[in-house]
Amino acid sequence: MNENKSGFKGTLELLQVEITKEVENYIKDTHKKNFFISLKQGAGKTIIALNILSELKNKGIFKKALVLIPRSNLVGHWAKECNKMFYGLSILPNPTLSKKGIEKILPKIHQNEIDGFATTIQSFRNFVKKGYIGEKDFDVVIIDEASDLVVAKDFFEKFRMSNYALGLEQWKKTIKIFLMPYQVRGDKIEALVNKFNPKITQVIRREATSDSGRLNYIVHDPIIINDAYVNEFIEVIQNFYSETRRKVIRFLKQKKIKGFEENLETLVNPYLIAKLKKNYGLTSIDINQLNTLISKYILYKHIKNWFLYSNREDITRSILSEQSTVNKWLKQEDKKLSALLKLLQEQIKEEKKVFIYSQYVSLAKFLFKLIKKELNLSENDIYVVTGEDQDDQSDKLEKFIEEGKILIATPVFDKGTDIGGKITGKKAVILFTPPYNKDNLLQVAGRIRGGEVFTLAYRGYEEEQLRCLIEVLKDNPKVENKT
Amino acid sequence: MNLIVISDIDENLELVQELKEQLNSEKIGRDNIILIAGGLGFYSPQREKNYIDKIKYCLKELLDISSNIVYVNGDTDKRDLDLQMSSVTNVHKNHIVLNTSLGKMGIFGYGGAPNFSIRNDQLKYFSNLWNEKLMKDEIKSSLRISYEKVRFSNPDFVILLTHSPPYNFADYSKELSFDTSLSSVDFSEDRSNSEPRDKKRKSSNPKHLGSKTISEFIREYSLNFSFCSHVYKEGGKITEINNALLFNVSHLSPMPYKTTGRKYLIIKNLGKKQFEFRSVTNKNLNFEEYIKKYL
Repeated sequence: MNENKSGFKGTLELLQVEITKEVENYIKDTHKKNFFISLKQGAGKTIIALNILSELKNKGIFKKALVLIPRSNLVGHWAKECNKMFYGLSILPNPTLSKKGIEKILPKIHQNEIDGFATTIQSFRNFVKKGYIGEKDFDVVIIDEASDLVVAKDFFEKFRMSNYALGLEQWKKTIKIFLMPYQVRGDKIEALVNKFNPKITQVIRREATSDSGRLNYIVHDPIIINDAYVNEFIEVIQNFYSETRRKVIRFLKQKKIKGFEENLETLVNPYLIAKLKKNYGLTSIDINQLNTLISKYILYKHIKNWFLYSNREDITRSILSEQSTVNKWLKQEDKKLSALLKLLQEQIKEEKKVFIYSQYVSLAKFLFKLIKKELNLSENDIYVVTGEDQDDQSDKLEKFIEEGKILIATPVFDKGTDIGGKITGKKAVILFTPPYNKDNLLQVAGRIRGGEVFTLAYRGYEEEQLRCLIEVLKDNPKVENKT
Repeated sequence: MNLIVISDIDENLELVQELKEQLNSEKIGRDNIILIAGGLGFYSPQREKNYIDKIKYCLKELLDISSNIVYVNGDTDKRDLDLQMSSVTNVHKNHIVLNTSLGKMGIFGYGGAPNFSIRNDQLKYFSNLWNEKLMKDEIKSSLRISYEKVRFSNPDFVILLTHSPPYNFADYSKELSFDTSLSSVDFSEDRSNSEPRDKKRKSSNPKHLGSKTISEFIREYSLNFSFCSHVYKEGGKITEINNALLFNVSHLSPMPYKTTGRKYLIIKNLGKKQFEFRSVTNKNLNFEEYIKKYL
């Protein structure tokens, strides 16, 4: 039973206590219902959310909680952390529930046998649509990593809210706590505040105030790789890419279609195309033209990435391998991979634990095999985690933290996962495929909770792009820059 | 002599002529064997004559550079395709043994493709699909009978020719559709990062589209080579199963994937497994012109 008091098992940071108090006061004094809490990485957003739950429970303000998480692999982790760090709080993990599952779990919540359950935001939408759950079932909803709720600029709403959370704004009586990183743009938060009624909504944005709440990073300048061939290929592909992009935008302007300039890729979605066809009276010829342009646009982007991120397998299988210069290049060593191996050797020598970020599953697996073989590593030294490892993602993470040297992960670990927090020694992150979106970049680099940040770039086009990106990381106040 | 393996010529006479010219420029002669892993054309009862004529034009061109053409029908071909051309053999549920300077080749096959590999709303456009659950025994028994007949001739090389890949080899893709005009590459490569779908919508996530029956057959029986196509995006992949070398030979037609299109496989020595993938392109164009022309 959950009648007893609950609380944090250790000692809370000052910031964590302050924010909990602030939320409590707003609820008590101003009857606010929605809280957008935007904090620096490492401030302990999960702990704050749990502490708010704990305090609200102790004060009898809540009895039934729903926790929404962006990725199914994080649901179990969230519930586990809750049990580990807090006493008297029982949150069950249920990433994907069936109707039967819901029927089993809801009575437990209503009879106060448990305090709530955690599930994915995607499941939430399905449950609400099917009527399995509703506002009456919960007093508090925690939405972790809520920055994804505002997914893109939109012509009608300025910012479009993620479909998965639609409907939540109509839960007027439930307290909703949205947790998001500090770097989320103010206008994005403003858009959400407007959606959730500004009168009952409070934004709490705070940088870490105590030293322990801050993370120390050393951001290195990119390691530059001289390969004139790659730079030549990239410049050509980039020109085609930009030209195609211009054509798409011109097409959209001609047809008076607004709101997609920042997300042209979404136009590949046939359902969206069907909507545009209907709303803007597009002809079949228009649709064919748009499809062709978007496909080319995406194709160029992919080919660029093949060259930049060592995807020689796909290049070899493609007709590009026949072109005489590409053919010559394929016979040479992959200089970026050689630079990566050299960097890893140095890091391992310095006894650092290294997290390598790869945007792609196939690349992550390829790097795993290559690094394991070339650096003669054992099973316990190196781990790879992708979306395909649903069951043992956290096991692999724990093993890496305990005894591993290298962890390669795809975006499954790009947010909400604390990779570096429990590592006591030195640590580094290598952004092998650096995210070119500022928010994502800070999220990914932040996974190691401080340490050294490395990137690799071919001299020329990629170097220029990456140097601009690195400035974003270096702009963070507690970052030490190394050239 | 060479063994040339192609797929999905899609009635494209111009492309076949380009292939012929490219091989002729190497003075390859006529003493070659061409295998076609399906995809000769687009059959419908309304255009049967046109379909047959166009395929025949293409194959006549190919007979200028080969002494024998052996094929299976693909998912868009006529189910019981019979071209009635000399030196041209359909090995769907059938076999042929060829005595060549490359060695004695016993070739047998199975055409068409499993219906689950095609998008549900597109099934009507494909004339040669089979339900694997219902047809499993029939497919296996047909393959076994052809295999035993081939083995009876004591060939140097036993070759399986199918349109569908075996399950779990070069078969990972989104379900195929007829109206894919210019799909590029699989941009939801990172499945973990792909958005969960609305249940009302059909899945667009990649999955294994190959035949489990063909896969079981390859594992149970002793083959030397197996050639397939169908899953275009996986074209050019090679693996070895049960000592047999398996190829997804890609597609000669530039559509639907421009990156893996225009490709063919050439084997110069079967015993030494000397092979190379080539493409019907002008490799001497500079990178920019090459991209502009072929992508």
